[in-house]
Amino acid sequence: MQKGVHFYCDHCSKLTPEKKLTKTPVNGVERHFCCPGCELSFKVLKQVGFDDYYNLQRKELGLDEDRGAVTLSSEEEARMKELYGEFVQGEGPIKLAYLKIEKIHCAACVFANEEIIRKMTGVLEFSINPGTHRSKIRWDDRLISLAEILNTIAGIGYYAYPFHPSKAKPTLDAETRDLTTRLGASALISMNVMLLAIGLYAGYFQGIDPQIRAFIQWIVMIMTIPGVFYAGKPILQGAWYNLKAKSPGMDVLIATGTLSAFFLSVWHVMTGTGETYFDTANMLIFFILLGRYVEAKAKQKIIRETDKYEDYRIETVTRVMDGIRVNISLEEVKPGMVLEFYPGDVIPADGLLAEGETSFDESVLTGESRPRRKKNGDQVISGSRNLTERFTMTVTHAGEGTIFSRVLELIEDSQLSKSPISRLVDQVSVRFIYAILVLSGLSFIWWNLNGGLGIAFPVAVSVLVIACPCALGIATPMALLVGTGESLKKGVLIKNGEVLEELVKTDQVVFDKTGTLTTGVMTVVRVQSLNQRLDSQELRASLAHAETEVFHPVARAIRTHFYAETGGYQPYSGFQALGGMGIRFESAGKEVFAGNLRLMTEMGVDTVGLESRMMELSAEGKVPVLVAVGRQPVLLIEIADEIRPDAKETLAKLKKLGLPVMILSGDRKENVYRLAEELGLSPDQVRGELSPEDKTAEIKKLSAEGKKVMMVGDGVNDAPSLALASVGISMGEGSSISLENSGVILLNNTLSSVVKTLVFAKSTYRKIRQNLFWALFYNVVMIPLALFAVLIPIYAAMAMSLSSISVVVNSLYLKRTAGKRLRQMGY
Amino acid sequence: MISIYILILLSLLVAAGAFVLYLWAVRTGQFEDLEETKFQIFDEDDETGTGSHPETRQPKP
Repeated sequence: MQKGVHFYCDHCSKLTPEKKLTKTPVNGVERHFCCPGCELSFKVLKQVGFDDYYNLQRKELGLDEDRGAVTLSSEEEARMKELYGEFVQGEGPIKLAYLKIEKIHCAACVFANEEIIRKMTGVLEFSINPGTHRSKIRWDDRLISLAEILNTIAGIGYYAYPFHPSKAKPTLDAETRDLTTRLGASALISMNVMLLAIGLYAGYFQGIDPQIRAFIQWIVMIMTIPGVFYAGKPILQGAWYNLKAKSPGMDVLIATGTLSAFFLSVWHVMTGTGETYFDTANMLIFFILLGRYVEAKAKQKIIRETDKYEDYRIETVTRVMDGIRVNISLEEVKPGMVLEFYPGDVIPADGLLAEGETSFDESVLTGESRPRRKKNGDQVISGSRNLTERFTMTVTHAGEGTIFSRVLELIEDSQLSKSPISRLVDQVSVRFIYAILVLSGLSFIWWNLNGGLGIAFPVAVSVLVIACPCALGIATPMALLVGTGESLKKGVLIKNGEVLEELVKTDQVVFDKTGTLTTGVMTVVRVQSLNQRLDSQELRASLAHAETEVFHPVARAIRTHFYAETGGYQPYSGFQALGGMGIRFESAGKEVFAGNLRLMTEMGVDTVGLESRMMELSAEGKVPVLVAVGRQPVLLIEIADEIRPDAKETLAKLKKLGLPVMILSGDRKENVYRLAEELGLSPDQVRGELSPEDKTAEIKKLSAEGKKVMMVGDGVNDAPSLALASVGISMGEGSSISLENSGVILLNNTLSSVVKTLVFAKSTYRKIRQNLFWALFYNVVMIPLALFAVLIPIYAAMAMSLSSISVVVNSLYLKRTAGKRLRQMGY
Repeated sequence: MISIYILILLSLLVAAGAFVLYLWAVRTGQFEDLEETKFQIFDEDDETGTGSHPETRQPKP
C-alpha cells in the first residue's frame, strides 16, 4: 500500500498522492483529479450529462461511498447500465462507442490520435472522420476502459466525449464561435499593425525621426502580443501537442514561422537594431485562421444538411392501453405496444398500422417527397412523419433495432470511413513535415551566408508556411463528404470511400430478379369478369373486406386492388379460411369461394373451359385466383409480381454507359427468360433456377475472369453474393442481412438509383483526383519560389490558405457537376 | 509632433471599441448562421416554436 494520504481521481479512479492532486470545484462539489487531462474530461463529460457514467464505473470497481459515490439500488443500477448502454454498444467484452473529438485541425491531428489510440492494448478499432471529427471505437472491456481511452485523448490535447449518432447534436458551433472571435481579433490587429507598418516602411525609405520610429515599433509590438498569443493560441497549442505526441502537423510549421518572426522582431526592438516583422507574424495567423474559418463553415453547412436526420429526435410518445392514453418515454417503448400519433408527429419506431388511415412523409429515408398513403396492416417506418390523420400503430421494432437507427449508424459509418488513398496521404504528410523543417533550416543557413539575415529570415519563414500540407490532407475527405452527402439526398447511401473506388472500377453489373428487377410485391394485373349477372360492385367490395382476415401476399393483393376499385368495404359473414386453397364467405346471402383451381374442383364449381387457361397462367409465373358465387365462376383474377416501372430504362442506361448486364435468379428458367425478353436482354445474359450457392459461384467465376462485379439485389438469398461482389447494392426495403452486406443502399428503393450511384461515384472520384492534383501543385510550384526568395511570407500565407479554400470550394462544386451529369443521363 | 502620439493612441482606443462590439456580435450568435436569416419569415411563430432552428431561437428576456 502507498504511504501518505491518497485520493482516487474522480475521472480515471487512479490512486494519487495528495501532493500531486489537482483539486477543483465542479458544480459546487470539490473534485480530485490526478492530472489536468482528467479534470478536462470530467468537466466535458459533466457538461454533456454523462456523469452517471462515473457512478456506474465506481459500482463496477466495487468502490465504497468514500468518494461521494452513491450506493445504488438495483433499479437505479439498471437505469445506469441503460444510460451507459446508450453510448456503449455490444454484448460481451467487445464494446463499441462513437466519440466526438474536438480540436482536430488537420490530417496530422487525425493521424496522431489514431496512431496513439490504436497502439493502446485492448483497442481493436479506432478511426476518425477528418470532416466531422467523429470517431468510432471498438475495444475489449477486459483490457481497457472507455475512461482510459478518453483520458489518453485528453492527454495529447484533444477533447473527446461519447456521442451517439442518433442522439447527440453537433457541437461544432462552440468551436466555430471561438474561431470567429479569434479571427476577428486577428483581423483587427493585423489591419492596425499593417497601417503602422506602412509608416515604418515609408520611414525606411524617406527617413524617420528615430524617436517616433521606436514609438511605433513599441506600439506594434504590444499589439502583436495578443495577435500572436490570443488569436494564434489554437495554432500554438496545436503545435505544442503535436510535438509532445511526436507527430508534427501543419501547426508546427505555422507556429515555428510565427514565433521566429515575433521573437526576432522583439530582439530588434529591444536592441534598437534592424527591421521588425510583426506584420508578418500577424498576417500569417490571420490567413491561417481565415482558411480554417472557411473550412469550418463549409463543413458546418454539410453537417447541418446531413443532420436533418438527427433532428428527428423525440422524447415521449403516447401509448394506448385498454382505451387509456399514457405518455411514456421513448426508451420504454417495446415491440407489441400500441402507440398513437397525430398529424405532424415523427414516428420513432417501426410498426404496423393498426387503426386509421393516413399519409406519410418518408423523405428523410427515401428522398422521395411525395406522401405515401398507408392503411390498416401496412408497415410504418421509423423516421417518417405523419401528415394527415390520427392513427395507432403496433410496434414491431423499437430503439436500436429500428430501420431508422440502423440507417443512421450506417450513415455514421460511411462518414467515418477513409478511402485507402486518404490513409496514404495522412502518412505521407507527416513525413513531409519533417522534410520541410529540414529544408527551411538549410535555406536559412544558405541565404544567411549568401545574402545575410535580411533575406535568410523571410525565406525560411516562407518555406515553412507555403509547405503546409493541409490542402493535401483535406482533399479526399472533403470531396467524399460532399459526394456522399449529395448522393444521400437522392436516396443513395454509399457506405464508405473504399466502395466509391470500387464503384468507379465496375465493369459488370449483375441483377437479382425478384424484389430487384420486379417489385417483389404481388399485385393484381388483370381481372376478367366471367359472369355479368353475378358480378357486382358489392361482391367485389365484400371480397376485399373478407380478404382482410387472411395474411397472405395474394390476399393482400386482392384486398388492395378491390378496395381501391370500389372505394370501400362491404359487409360479409360466415368467413372460413380454407388452408392453402382460398377462402369461403357469404355476401348478400350467397356463398362465395375465392381460391385456386383445387379449391374450385373440391367445392364442385363448374370450371370447364377454365382449367387450361389457369394452367397457362401458372406456367407464366402468375397466380390465378377464381371467384365463384353459388358454384358459378364469376371472376378470374391474375396476380403477379410486377416488373419495376424503371427497370427497362435503367438497363438501357447501363448499356449506354457500356456496362454489361446479367440476371441471376432463383426463379424458374422460363420466367427469367420471359423477363429478359421484356427487358430487352438476350437469353445468354440470364441464369435461372440458381440457389444462393450457385449465385455466389457465378460471381466468383466473373471475378476470376478479372471483372469487377457490381451486384444489385435484395433479400436473404442475395446476401452472400452481395458480400462477395466487389460492390453490393441492396434495395432499401431488403432484408437487414442484405443491407449489412452491401456497400451501397438504395434508400428510395428505386432501380434508377443504380445509375445515379455510378454517376455520383464517378463525379466524386474525379473530384478527389482534381483536389489532390491542385493541392500537390501548390506545394510543388510554391516551395521552389519560396526557396529562391521570390515569395515573401505574407504571400506565402495567403497562397497557403487559398490552396485550402480552393480545395473546399472545388469540392462544394461537386454538387453542381454531379447534378449536371445526372441531367445529362435524363434524371 | 505630439499630435502623432495622441492620434495613434486614440486610434487604438477606437479599435478596442470596435473589438468589444465584435465580441458582443459573436457572443449573441450574429455570425452563427448567415443563411438562416432570410428564411426566418417563413417560420411559424407559435408558442411551441416549431420549424425554426433551435439554436438561433433565443428565449425572450
